[in-house]
Amino acid sequence: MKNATIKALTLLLALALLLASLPAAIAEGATAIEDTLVVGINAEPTHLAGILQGVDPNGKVSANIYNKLVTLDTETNEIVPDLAESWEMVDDTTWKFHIREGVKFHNGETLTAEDCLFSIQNNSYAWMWGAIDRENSYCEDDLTLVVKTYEAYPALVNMLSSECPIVCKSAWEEMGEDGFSRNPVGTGPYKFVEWIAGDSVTLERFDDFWGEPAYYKNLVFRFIVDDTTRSLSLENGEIDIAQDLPDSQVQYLEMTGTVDIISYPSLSVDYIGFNCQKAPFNDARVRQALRYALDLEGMVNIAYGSTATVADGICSPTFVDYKPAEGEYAYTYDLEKAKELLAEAGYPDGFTCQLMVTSKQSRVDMVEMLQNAWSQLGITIETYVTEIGNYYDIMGSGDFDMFYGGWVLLANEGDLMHDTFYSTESLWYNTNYTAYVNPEFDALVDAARVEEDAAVRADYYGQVQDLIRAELPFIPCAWVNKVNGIKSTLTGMETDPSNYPLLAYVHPVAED
Amino acid sequence: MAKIQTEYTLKQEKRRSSGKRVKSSPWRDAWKRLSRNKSAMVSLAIIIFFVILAIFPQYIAPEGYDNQNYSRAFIFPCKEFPLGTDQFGRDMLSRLIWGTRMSITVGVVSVLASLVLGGVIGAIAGFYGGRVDNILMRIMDIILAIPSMLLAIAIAAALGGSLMNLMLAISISSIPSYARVVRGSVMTVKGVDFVEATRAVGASNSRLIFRHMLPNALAPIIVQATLGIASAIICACGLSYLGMGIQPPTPEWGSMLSSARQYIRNYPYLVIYPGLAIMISVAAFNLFGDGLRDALDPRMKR
Repeated sequence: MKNATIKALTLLLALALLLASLPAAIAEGATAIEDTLVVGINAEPTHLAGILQGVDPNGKVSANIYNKLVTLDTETNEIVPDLAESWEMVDDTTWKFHIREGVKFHNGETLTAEDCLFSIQNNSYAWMWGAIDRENSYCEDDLTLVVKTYEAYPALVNMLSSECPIVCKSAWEEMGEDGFSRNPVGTGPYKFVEWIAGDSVTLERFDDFWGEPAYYKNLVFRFIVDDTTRSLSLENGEIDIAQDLPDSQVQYLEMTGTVDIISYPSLSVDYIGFNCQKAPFNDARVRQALRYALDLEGMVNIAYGSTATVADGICSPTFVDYKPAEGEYAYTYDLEKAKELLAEAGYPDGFTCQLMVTSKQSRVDMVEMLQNAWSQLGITIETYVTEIGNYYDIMGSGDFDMFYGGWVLLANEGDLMHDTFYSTESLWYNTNYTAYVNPEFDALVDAARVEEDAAVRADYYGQVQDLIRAELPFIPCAWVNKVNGIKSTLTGMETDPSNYPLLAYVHPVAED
Repeated sequence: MAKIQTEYTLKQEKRRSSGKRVKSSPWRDAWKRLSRNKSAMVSLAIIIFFVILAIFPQYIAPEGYDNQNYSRAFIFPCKEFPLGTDQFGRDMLSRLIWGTRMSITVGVVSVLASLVLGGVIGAIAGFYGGRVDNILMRIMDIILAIPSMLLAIAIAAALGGSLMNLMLAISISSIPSYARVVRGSVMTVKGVDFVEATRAVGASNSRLIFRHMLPNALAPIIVQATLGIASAIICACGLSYLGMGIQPPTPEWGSMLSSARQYIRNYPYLVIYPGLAIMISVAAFNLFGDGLRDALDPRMKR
């Protein structure tokens, strides 16, 4: 009797399990249809609010949801209209933007200058707004936005082309910051549909989009953290595009013949940062000694392979005002000189310190080689590999010796360095992660900020780059390329070094 | 096996009946039974081999564990580098040998630590019984309810990665299983005559537990500990694979696997050898533990 009950129960359970798995199987079949583009990214976004500062994956998704006032044309490298049809400088500190008429948000509302003002005023990117007087900016009428600056600011339009998406004000106010972060409303070619935690974000083509409609109806971002798994999924055809591939996978994918690798130089640099407020790193000679002890060519080649080049400065050659390193600023491997400098600074026998890094493979590889290279100077490095949230927490607290991280010169605009690396104490460990203080640097970026003449500006930024090479508050190591893999049957992926790729116009290669 | 067993027993009988003094203790008997178990003996040899590697890597390994040389990166196994070189041009054989030290240390130390802690808890619970037993064992049950790997990950993540924290994480998460085994063994000998006798003589409780009861309850504890080393090694490798164990450049099999996994398709040997090392050592400890169980089980005597 008892046995029979148990048997029946077991059978029932098994049946229930079987039934429960059925809808999932059906759903899986459904997503495989032709009108869906699946993209593999290396981490889950933390939010999709667009105007709130966040981590890299956020931008990869939200680039397809939002528009900006202006954007950078990939081909001509010029600023072109996006939501602002035209703009003019009224006087030194006043700019007028004419907003495109009849643009719809994903929730059906019409875009007004009010939304643009709201997006600018609530934007939390710390390094963007130092020169812009957001308080006193205003809407002249429904379609005219007036942006004020504290002083002459020729970089304004460039800055607005970067991390300044336009969000729907009423939706934001209705849902609040947290609600909006999970249910974004923008004007872009794709609208938000669903976010499955730990798995994917699904977007759908927005039919009332003001520009050319997106090609694929559905755009799915799947979070595939492991590099090997992501590249395998691309090879198997489970995903159509894989973003951020490491060198080891690139080598392999190139051989398959079914995948194209799209690799292009970016504005990112990976660097060793020092805590310049803390001994021994408050002494420039120590920092220089550490640089002389490195065979960067060999290291970058091993850690990054084809996906990066050795950096000679904090700004990559993609930067409009890039200045190459010359003479004493072009460091080479020179162990004797390193030992000399270290002895001069009072550390002939080296020291012990901690080096922090996130778990990105190329960076961990670099750190392992740095540790080995510096041991020749008697320096003992304890490595600390941690995840990105904790990494930024520790950076913010200022309680670290060294870190290995990355920096992006967003918008291809030198003025970004002003609010990032300025000596003010309030920026220490916040954007000026190395807490580097140098009045000379401040004077240069101050002068560059208000300078109208492009050639003079370029000269200032050239001096800034040399100053950093001389003082080395951070050692630039690698200019990192953006490396994406795409099925050979697809094309049309935008490759703009200062933006996340827009995927709306990816389409099959025409057959002929 | 059974045949051998009977022959052996017969021989014993003969010796006894012939009146010769036979040096016989339960441990000696167990060793004799163990030495007849081929797989256990092979495992023991492997374990001894690994232990020697772990104690003397500086004499055995061809070079240091962090001798980087960018010009000889990714050399497939050959005469000069029997197991090849990794992405930094380090000799894989040397790294594997140095890695043995980490894995064996973690395995042995964490098992000893959890054995001591779990043993004391189990002995107290088993000896006093009643409310003490109830409270202690319910706490153990709570810990046991959390999957041990998950608990170890949580502890390691909270404390940060280092050799010490890794061992701590593994030992804390495996305390309950030792507490259970020891409690059970103590309870079985609790009512036995010699315990009663010792008590009657007036021995203190601690003397009773540690001098009389535990030694007589040792067999299952040893078996559990040997098997525990295997799972501790696996657990350590798992944590290091996840980046929560031993930090680079110190070689550890799990972290070697982890850093090599991106090269699995181009340079598979980087993954195969650390994987083999883990597999062989864990299999050895498991087989040896099984052999010990067979040898120490008193029922086999009959």
